[in-house]
Amino acid sequence: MRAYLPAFGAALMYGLSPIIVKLGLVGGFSPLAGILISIMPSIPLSYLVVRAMHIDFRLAFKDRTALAYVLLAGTVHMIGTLFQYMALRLENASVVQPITATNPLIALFLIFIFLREEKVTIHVVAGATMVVIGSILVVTR
Amino acid sequence: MGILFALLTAFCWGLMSLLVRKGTFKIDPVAANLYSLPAGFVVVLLVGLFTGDLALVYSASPYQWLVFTAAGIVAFVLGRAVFYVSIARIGAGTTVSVSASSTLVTPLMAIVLFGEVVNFQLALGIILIFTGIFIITRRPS
Repeated sequence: MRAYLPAFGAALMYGLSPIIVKLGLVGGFSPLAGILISIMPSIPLSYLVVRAMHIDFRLAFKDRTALAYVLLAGTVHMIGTLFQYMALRLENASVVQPITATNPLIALFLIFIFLREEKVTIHVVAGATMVVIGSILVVTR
Repeated sequence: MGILFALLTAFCWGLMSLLVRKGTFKIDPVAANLYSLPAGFVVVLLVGLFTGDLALVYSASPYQWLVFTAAGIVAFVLGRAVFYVSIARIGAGTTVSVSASSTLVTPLMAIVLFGEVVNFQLALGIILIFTGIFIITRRPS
């Protein structure tokens, strides 16, 4: 079970973050400007974390392909977040959130097709499907 | 159009986990987070320049700077770092499935802190999420 702690930690952090963001979005403040403010200090702080953990981050330059994947991941993640804001401008959250909540199933499909190094088991598919349905019920309550 | 953007969000987030998995085979996940942040920042910066939201950063109050910085620490410095660590350790499929339970944080906080009434839909959603996580984490390795 200890192996899953980082995933639960991520769930907790990703769950807490929108609650904190809402506190800052007072007076119709732009969410995009909010993201910009959030990222700016996060970069030097992440650098400090890397240094504190004695991780040689320069090693990443030894494998340019892996680095490209990571840079692309950061880009795609943010593009997804921007799409979410655009969706929320055009549709109600009750429509948008259930659709975006399906992302684990899309991830599993993409992993099944493109990632030979990782097996997508029936347990994970079944569990993810239940989590997604549960999430949809929770966000549309 | 809003639904299309919501679908694109889900696709981008699904794709992101696949890219992180590919990248963290060779790069330390905490260092990978450090590299992914500027990539995302550039995206938001360009969009912010285009939409004019960048100028709104200067109009943010010290309170908003504090709140968005806190949100950035939670989401980008801690949340994303443990998400990447989890992907590197237990795989992208399992991580995205477990971390999708982040939708539970808000209702659980509302129940514990504000005594929100648990209706049938919310209860069913919570049960499904917990059952899904149980199935994922109990799978044979």
